[in-house]
Amino acid sequence: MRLLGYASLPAIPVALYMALVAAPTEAFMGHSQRIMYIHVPAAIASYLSFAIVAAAGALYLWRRRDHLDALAHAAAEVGVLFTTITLLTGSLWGRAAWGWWWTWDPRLTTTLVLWLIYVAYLIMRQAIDDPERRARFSAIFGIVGFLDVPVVHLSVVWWRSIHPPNFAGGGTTLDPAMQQALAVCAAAFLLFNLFLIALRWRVERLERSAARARASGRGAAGD
Amino acid sequence: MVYVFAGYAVAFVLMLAYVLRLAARVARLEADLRRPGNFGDGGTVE
Repeated sequence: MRLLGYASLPAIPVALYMALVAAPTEAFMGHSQRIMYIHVPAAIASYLSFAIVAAAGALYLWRRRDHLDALAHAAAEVGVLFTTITLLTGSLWGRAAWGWWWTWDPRLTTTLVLWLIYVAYLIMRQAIDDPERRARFSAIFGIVGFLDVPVVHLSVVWWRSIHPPNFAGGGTTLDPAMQQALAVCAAAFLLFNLFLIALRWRVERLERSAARARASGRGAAGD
Repeated sequence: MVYVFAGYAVAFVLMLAYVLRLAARVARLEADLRRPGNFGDGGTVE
C-alpha cells in the first residue's frame, strides 16, 4: 500500500503538468478540452474498480473469505467516487462543447445507470445485518452490476451518440502529443485508484477486526 | 477556462477529501486497536 502511495502521489503532479502545460491547446474547444485529461482517466479508474468488485465477489463466492468481501466493498466505494468525478467533469465538458450540462445520450445515460447501480450496492450493504448474507448478496450484485461496464464502453458504438468515440480500437483522431498526455494522466489515475482501494481495504479490515474484538469482549463479559 | 478550473477543482477536492478521510480513519482505528483495555480484552467496563 505504501509503495502505491509513494508511486501515485508524485505521479499526480506529473499528470497535471502534462495535462495543463505540455499538452497542446485544442483548435476548436481551446482550453476547455483539457477536462478530457481527468474525465477519461477517471472513467478508466472506475471501470478498474468495478472489475475488482466483480472479481473479488466471484472469489468470495468460491472461497468464502471475509477479506475478499472487504476488498469488494472498498473497490465499490472508490469506483463510485471515480464515476462521480467522471459524471461531473463530463457535465462541465458537455457545457463547454455542446452548450448544455446534461443530455440523455446513451453514453451519459449508461454511465449514470452504472453510478446508480453501485450506489445501490453500497446502500444494500448497509441494509443487511448478517455479515455472511450481506457478503453473498453483495458478491452477486457486484458481478451482475459489472455487466453495465461493457455496455457503457460500447454504447457509442452500439447506438447513435454525440459523445466522442472510444480511444481504444482506433476510433480517435487525437493528436499524438495529446495521446501522450492522456496516457500519463491515465497511468497516474490508475495508480491513485489502486492506492485508494488499498487504503479503503485497510480501513474495512481494521473496522471488522474492531467489531470482532468488541463482539468477543461482549461475549466474555456475558460469561 | 472557467470549466477547466471547475473540472480540476471538483476532481481534486473530491479525491483529496476522500484520501484524508481514509487516512484519519486508519489512524483512529489503529490507535483504538492498540489501546490497552479497549475492545473487550478484559479491561473494558460495561
